[in-house]
Amino acid sequence: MRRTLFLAAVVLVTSFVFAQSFIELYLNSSYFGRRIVVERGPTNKSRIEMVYRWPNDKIVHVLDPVFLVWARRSGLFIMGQPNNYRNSPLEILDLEDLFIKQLREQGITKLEKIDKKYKVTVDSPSGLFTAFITEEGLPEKIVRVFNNVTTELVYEHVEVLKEGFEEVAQRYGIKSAEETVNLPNEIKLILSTVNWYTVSRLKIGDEQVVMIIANHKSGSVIKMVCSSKDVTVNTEQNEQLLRIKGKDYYLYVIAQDQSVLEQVKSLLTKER
Amino acid sequence: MSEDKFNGFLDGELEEEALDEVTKSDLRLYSEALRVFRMRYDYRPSAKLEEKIMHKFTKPRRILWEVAMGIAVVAAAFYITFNLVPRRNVEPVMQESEVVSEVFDYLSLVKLVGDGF
Repeated sequence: MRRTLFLAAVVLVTSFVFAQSFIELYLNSSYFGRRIVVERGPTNKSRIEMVYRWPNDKIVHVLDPVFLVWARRSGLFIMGQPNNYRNSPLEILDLEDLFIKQLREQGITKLEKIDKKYKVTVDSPSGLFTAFITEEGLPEKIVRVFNNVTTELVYEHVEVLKEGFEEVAQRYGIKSAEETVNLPNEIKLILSTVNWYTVSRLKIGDEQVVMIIANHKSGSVIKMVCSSKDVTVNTEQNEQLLRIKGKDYYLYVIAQDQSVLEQVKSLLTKER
Repeated sequence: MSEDKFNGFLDGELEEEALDEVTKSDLRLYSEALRVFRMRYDYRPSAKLEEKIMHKFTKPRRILWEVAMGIAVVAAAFYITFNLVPRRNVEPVMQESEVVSEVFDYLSLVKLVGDGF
């Protein structure tokens, strides 16, 4: 009995050590890949991309549906097209970045070895992630299921990347951008507290405005209306409204949850 | 030739017998010249030549007419296109401010290339 328990402990410790080393290998890998992203749910979207990934940096060349390049360099984000790059005030995170983020925060929920690859499951507030990673630490597929929306990132080709960031960046004409996209700071701060958002154009009176509907990390819905002029924003009975006047814009924050609105107020006050 | 007698004869004041031989001869020449002159000015071209000549006049007139018709048709087409056919309003419904437009374009792109926060 004692021997059986000892053997079980050895197997457990060995698997844990192997799992750790394989995860470390994956997190520290540099690779080039061609991949397809498909999102199915109330709305569908898909992308075809080429990705160059280093442990901390990334260059993604989106081929379809738009021709666009975005890059992460030392925590800063740049996006645009060759010779027209601008700093992105918001983080740009693909499904792999979100998986790694949750992997680091939540840890592995379940680990399985299937043939020569690992199936890693991470259950997180941002969704249930399942990743298939080879023994060499290269990704094959990452799937997220969240609120009836399934997002799949499938790598059709992956190879070890020997070039450095600067070499690839030079090829794409990526330099440190001089200009930053003009995004009201309040929107940036509020979007840092949400899981996802949708954006649409809306007409209020004679004014064309932008409506952002986001899912706050607390689970409640938060809306923002950005306008260049002061407009009358109608709210439901259970909604609270916060009006902010910026330099050349007006922002209206609408929340159903009073505590969420208080959080937003506190966040904005702290940053001013 | 006696010019008075010649004119008197032509005016019907004198008979031919009253004329001298020279005037009579001149009168014959005059009558011959007048006959030839009349013949020349009474000339009627053949139907074929008349058609040929008239064709020369009518052809340029027809071209002018066709050009005028063409101009009229084009003018009518322009008038109908720009005044009568209902046009789609290609003008933006309203002016969108730069900041609003930039916010929309940027957030749409981030949403398109990113998978969440």
